[in-house]
Amino acid sequence: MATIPSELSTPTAFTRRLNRVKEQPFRIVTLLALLVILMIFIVYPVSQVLLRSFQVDGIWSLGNYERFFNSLFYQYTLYNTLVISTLATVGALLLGLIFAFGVTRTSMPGKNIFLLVSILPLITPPFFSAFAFILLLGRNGIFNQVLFSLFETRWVIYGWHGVTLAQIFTLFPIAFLNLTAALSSIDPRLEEAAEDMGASFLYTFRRVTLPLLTPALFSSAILIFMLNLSAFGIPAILGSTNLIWREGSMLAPEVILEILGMNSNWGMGSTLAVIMLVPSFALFLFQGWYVRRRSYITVTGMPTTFAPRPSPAYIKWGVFTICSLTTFFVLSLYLVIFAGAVTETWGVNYNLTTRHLELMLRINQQSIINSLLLSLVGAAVASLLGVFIAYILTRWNFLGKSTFNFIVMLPYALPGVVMGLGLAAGFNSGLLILSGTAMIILIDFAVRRMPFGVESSKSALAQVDSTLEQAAADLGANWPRVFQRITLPLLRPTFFATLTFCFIRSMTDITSVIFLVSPRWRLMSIDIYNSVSAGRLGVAAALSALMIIIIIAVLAVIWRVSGLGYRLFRL
Amino acid sequence: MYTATSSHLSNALERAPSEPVIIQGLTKRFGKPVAVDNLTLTAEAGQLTTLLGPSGCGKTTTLRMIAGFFFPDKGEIYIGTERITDQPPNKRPTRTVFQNYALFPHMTVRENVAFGLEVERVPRAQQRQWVDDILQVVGLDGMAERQPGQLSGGQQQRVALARALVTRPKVLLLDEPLSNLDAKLRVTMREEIRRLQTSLGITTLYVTHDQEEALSLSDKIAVMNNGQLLQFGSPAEIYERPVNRFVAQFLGLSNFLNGTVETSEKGNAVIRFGDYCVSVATNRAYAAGTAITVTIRPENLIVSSEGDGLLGRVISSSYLGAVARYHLHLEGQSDEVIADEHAPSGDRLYQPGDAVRVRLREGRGFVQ
Repeated sequence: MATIPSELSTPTAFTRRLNRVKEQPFRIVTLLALLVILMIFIVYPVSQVLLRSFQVDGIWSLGNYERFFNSLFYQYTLYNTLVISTLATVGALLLGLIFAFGVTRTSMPGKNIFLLVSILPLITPPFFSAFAFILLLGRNGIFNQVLFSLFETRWVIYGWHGVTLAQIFTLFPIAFLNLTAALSSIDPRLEEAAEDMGASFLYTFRRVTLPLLTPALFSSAILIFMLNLSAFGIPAILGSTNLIWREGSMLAPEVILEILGMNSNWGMGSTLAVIMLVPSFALFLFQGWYVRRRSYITVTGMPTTFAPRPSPAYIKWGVFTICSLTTFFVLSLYLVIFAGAVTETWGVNYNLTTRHLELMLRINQQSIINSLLLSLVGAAVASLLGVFIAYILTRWNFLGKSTFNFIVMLPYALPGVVMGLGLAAGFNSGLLILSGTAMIILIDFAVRRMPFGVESSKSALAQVDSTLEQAAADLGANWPRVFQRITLPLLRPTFFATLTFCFIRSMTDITSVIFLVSPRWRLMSIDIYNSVSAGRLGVAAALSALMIIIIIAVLAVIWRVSGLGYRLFRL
Repeated sequence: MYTATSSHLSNALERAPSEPVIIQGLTKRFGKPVAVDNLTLTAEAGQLTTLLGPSGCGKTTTLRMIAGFFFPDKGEIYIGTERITDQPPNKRPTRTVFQNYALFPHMTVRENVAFGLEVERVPRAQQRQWVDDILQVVGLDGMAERQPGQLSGGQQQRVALARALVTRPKVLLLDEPLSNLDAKLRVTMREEIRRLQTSLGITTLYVTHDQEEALSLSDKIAVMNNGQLLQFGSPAEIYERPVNRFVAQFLGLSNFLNGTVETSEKGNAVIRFGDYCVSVATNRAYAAGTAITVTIRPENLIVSSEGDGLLGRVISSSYLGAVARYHLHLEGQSDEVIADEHAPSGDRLYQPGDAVRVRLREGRGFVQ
């Protein structure tokens, strides 16, 4: 009789082991396939940029670096980039902090409007504000026309102050959303406890709120600084004169000028890209280290339904004033764009016209379709890949996992210029020729957004109780089925949020696709940039307005389909 | 503010002159629903007053209005003769112990406790001394340099208490301070809080939904529901003479027996249940023959197999160690009745189906 249990259990254990062995090769194949893809489309292009920076006319040389360090022009370019990036980062953080504080910690009116307005810069091309600045504050901008007619003087926006301001208005929403999330997770009772013990509002802010907010401030600062460093559109449009070091330019526009300009100097362009890459990459590593180091900020996320405690009137209304002015300014930027699209000649003749719209539909039709399709497909690939890789990284154990993770996150640390340059350089000859195809643009979109998909899916996965998956496996599901039936549905909100974000980013991107577009495969964002540079402001305005409408339409569709509403922006 | 006149090296257990908290007509709405509805209450100087009620009854909202985190829509709050209704929290002489303790995670225990002293600009050396003293009082000596995250729940609770007490507030506010502790620790901590409170003689308001906690700690209990004060009195008053069914049931198991008044004078009455009569406490006199409901606790019902009393049948019995609990059906009563037998013998419980007689302990029933 005693043998019956063992006879019963042996086959079960055996089939289990068999299943395990059956799954193992499948996992290995999956991992290897992913690794090959990552090597080809991330590591190989980046190495191309590095290699080319050490080549002068096809010969190995340190010449490019010598030229960089011996030229005052390049030095000043570097200084300009660093200083303006720092200024813009500080400004964006401050503005973001004021907005976040106002929304989470005061009872000021109009919070919903401020939230909505702060999302606008996120869904429009980054160089968009630069363009609107020209229409508003350029030599023939409305503001300067009024100023000139009154005082015979102008306050022209071209220069370091214009770049800084435009960058601040473009990037403060990032700080705002990050800090809002962080402030909401800080238990307001901590601040109440401080006030309860006699601390004033500002003292509480300095001694309790700010220290607890440091990690969020810090990671926002790093992200914003990296975006500032690699910014191309705004410096290219507003930063051609009157920078802090007047003899210099700024890095990203310079890279593009070297390569796409008359000289077509790939070597020097690559060298500048590498110079840009170094601080970006260092910050990326530093941030990773910093996030692992901080330990005590496991703030009790006890949800509290309490309304914000009363804040002193001067704080509430001071914050309200700043938010209102910013909102007014941001809205006027958008208004100007839409007005520009239907104005005969901006600054000269303000008659209504449909001329620019007609011209746009005739010339840019193909780009509009290209942008929409490629961005959607690219975003879908990036989001799916992101969820899948996040799943592998959180639920599987394998040799070289941290290296795998590092490669996956690499595009996050790379300025857009580097990725675009690498893809352009890597696939215009040899085994795989992709230059001039839609494929290379798609790859760029997918690869550059993927780290974001991985990160957001990872944090979502961390909140999915793994016993749910264990239960499914216990009921006999193999891992692809568990992933498809349990994990993926639970990650639905994250997936849609990622999809939205990736789509918007791809639509509005110019820095890396500028190297990848071809006469056959043009993109809307590049057309806008070219129209602005060529001075065809009317068409540029029409295209920008259309892009905003397309993005809002797609957002509305995802909004409805996913049933997430405003949570789309709460990542 | 700190004044240099206090020359004591140790102020940890020094009694401060205490003041009452006077609440008059306090009302607070959140949108349409009323959170606190016209609440009037005086927490006597040096006493521990508990606000007791189910969640959403307005007890925490009341406490937060006393602390200054909410401003009332109507009504006034005084501490002694000082009107504090519109003062910001940092100007009030109150200190709060929060439900989740709200210890600053980026500061050590010492920095947490010293925070209030730091705000009052107490000299460093004095701060050190007082923090050490108070930590000793709450049994945390030697823990000053720890981070809050390294402490157990009970220790965090003590830090929160020390932080609130070290500045010698006139009023101590405790918001469900024990709800995050396990059952055993809760009993220890509540005894400790009570001991500290009485030795310091500090006026204390204590919010809880746990009736046992309220009974064991309080000088006075205010029972609240739906934002309104239902009853305010000593623990014995509240427990033994609840003003209505809600208060009776919230403070523990209660039976409600229907009978008629046989004779009545102010303070007590004889009630008839069929052929069984018993005297109960009342608040007023009733006309003979009035149908009334007697409220009585399970421990005041006596179950026996014979003699006089209401005729009943056992539905179920359970042995709980100190008591045996019977669920009974009594003749002429629609509600099920619960009776506790003290020091029962586990082998000789009445069994389901047994016919029994149930008597009310003389004078322990209560007619509202």
